[in-house]
Amino acid sequence: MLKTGKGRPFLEIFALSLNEDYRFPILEVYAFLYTLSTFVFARLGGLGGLGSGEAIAFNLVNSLTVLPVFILVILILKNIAYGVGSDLEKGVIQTLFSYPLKRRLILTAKLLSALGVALLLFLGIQVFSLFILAPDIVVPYMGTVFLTYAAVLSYPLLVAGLVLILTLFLKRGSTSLVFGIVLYFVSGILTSLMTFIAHATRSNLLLKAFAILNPSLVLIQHYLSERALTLEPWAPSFSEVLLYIGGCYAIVASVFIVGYVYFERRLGL
Amino acid sequence: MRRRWIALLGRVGTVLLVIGLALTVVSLIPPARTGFRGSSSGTLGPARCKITSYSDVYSPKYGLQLSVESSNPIYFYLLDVRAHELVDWVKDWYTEHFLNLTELDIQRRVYNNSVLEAYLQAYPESILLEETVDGEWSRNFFPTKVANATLVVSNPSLNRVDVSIEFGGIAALAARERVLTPAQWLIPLGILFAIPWGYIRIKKTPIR
Repeated sequence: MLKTGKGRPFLEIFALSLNEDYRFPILEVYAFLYTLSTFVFARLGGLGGLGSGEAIAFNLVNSLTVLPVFILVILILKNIAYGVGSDLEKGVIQTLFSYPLKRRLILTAKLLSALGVALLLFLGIQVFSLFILAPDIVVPYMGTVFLTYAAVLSYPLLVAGLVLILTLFLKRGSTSLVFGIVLYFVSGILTSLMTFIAHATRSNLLLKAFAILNPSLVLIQHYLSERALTLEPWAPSFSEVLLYIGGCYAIVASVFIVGYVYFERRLGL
Repeated sequence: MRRRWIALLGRVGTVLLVIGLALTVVSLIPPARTGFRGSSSGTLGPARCKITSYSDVYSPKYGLQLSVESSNPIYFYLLDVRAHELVDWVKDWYTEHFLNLTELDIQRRVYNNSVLEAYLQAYPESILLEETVDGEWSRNFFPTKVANATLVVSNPSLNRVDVSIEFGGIAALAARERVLTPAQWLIPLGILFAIPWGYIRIKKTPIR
């Protein structure tokens, strides 16, 4: 909990960041795109058929992960790289440091705006749209829906953490923004490559290792195994899925902790 | 500080407004005809029902275009069950309740209304759509889940009824009525929230 004395400056920085990150009409354009893309990209088949109700709910959410998540990634990376980056570049951060607030709280306020609001907007609109589109698929399997989102969003959050570190290190945003976008696409290429290698060598070792960074792969394998379509012999159990997702979030958390430590102690400002 | 709250409320309003507009855009895109199209017509005897042999998997994005015409009031149902499963259930029901009926007797009684009612009472959750039709009726239907839909009509009266059914698959981004209702709420609510913020914004803009 924030102490009463620190609440006001925290909110002040949060409001400043919100104003900077979501200038009119950025928020509105994204809200429109999220809503429309949910209805356009939602698929109710795929992964070799329909399967159980849980698998249908997973397929539905998973079908929304290509373009809408990319739109979200662009927003998050823009907010972090340009929001934090330009503050460092233009010296605005020095003004923020003059607030009676610890550095980590300043970064928290900035990340709450850059990441928190973007995620809230994305998840809020997508879950609402899915509820309108297919209430009887979404409501009974809310756990599956949120687990799929957790798995799908873990890699973008990892990229966001790495972009934050790079932005803090370089003290500018443009390079880290390009790095983040490249890193996000590399995941897609690596997924295809690892799957191909797993098929060719009949060994899932590389795919399993890569799945720690991108646990949505494990979730896909889990639901494919329900329909006996998985790569032999990898049919991950549900607890294995949770383990991979938890592992990835532990990595994400450590990346952000590194970012915080760097911001507090080694920023050189 | 008050201005900040107005700005926050205003931006929430504009977001609600654009979500409503996006839903309106979705509702304006017409459904496309796709997949199987079929028709069935004939006379339905007193207290008899008809189970169409065709059933398919439908979803919130892949629905049915239905058109029914009847000379007297009938009940029209869309049930979440495969046609052959429904017929098997009916036959099992007769076997369980009337032990001395022969295979032929059961075959004759498969399309009795009483056993359809027994099925509907046993599985009320299987009713995707229930409609009383007298004359002409048509509708685009999208289930709220993935469902095996089978068309069933029943004649509740003691008169013979001429029934004609036409049906076919349709694909859409979403069922029109399902997206229009939230849009009708979100747009005015969004405008209401955004008015004070918009007013301040316009007032602040310098006139050139």
